Amino acid sequence: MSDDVTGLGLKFGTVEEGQAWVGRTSEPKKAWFPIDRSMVLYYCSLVEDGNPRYWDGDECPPGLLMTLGFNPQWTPEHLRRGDGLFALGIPLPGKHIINASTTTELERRPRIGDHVSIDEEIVSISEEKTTRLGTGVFITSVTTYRDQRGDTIGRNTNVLFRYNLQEEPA
Amino acid sequence: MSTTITTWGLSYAEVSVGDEIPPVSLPITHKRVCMNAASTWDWFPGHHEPDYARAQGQRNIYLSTLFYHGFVDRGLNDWAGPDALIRRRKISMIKSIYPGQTATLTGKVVGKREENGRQLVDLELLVSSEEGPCVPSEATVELPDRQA
Repeated sequence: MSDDVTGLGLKFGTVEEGQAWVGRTSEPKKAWFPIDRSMVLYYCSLVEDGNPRYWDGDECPPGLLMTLGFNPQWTPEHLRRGDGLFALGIPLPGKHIINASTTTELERRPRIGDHVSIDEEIVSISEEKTTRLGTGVFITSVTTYRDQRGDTIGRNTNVLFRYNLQEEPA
Repeated sequence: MSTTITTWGLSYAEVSVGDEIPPVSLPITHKRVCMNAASTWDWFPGHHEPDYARAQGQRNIYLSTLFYHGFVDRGLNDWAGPDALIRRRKISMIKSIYPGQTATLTGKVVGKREENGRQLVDLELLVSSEEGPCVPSEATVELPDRQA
């Protein structure tokens, strides 16, 4: 049975094995489809954002950029891709994850119709630390979002805590 | 698609250090946390499976990173208008927000600067629940020269 209780494809190994991933960059992957209006309006409904650039125009809230890296929950076999979030494939001891922080920098406003490509670089993995949630490591990665012309729309620096609860074995 | 958008909002000259943004509050219902997963494709189980959330040390399912992105940006654009371009936004999640609580965004202007032809305003922000600070944040917003 897999130790991956998240269902997100976590890989397991030692901290040292994980730290060997620092400096690696994923292959660019294309979002499953171009940004569309239903994504934009559903997201605006979530936070009750009435910005007319989204409801009457053709722009996309920058907060949605991270969504473009997620895969559908199910696909037909012949369309299946093995390109989940890069940081989740790092072999490490932790069974759980929680996001600690993100910093988003924007070059231009994302728009409906942008077909975004995504690459992710692992920039650091901390030594093991203990927080009130448990003991684990902080993974810092930088994801770059580019449009169909290769121009950068924005980048996201993400810090993820991968951990075990105190009573759990590593 | 080309659409004419009616714009309004603050110009750079109209903003001063110390200005506060109008607070924004949203009730966080179970439905909204489920909407959070569905609208962002973020199906990490902590955001929709209470048993998993508890197994990872949380009280219940909780709001995700992508909610805070949109919530902070909404508060900024509610304040400065749709022409304001959020150039940078940092959020740090120090405490979760659960169904039954209220998320409230507050913030104030802490700096103004001109850089590479851009007129930038720096803000310190905070998303809180009834239990106190949850997501300290900061943002840099580019504002237009004059009111549209």
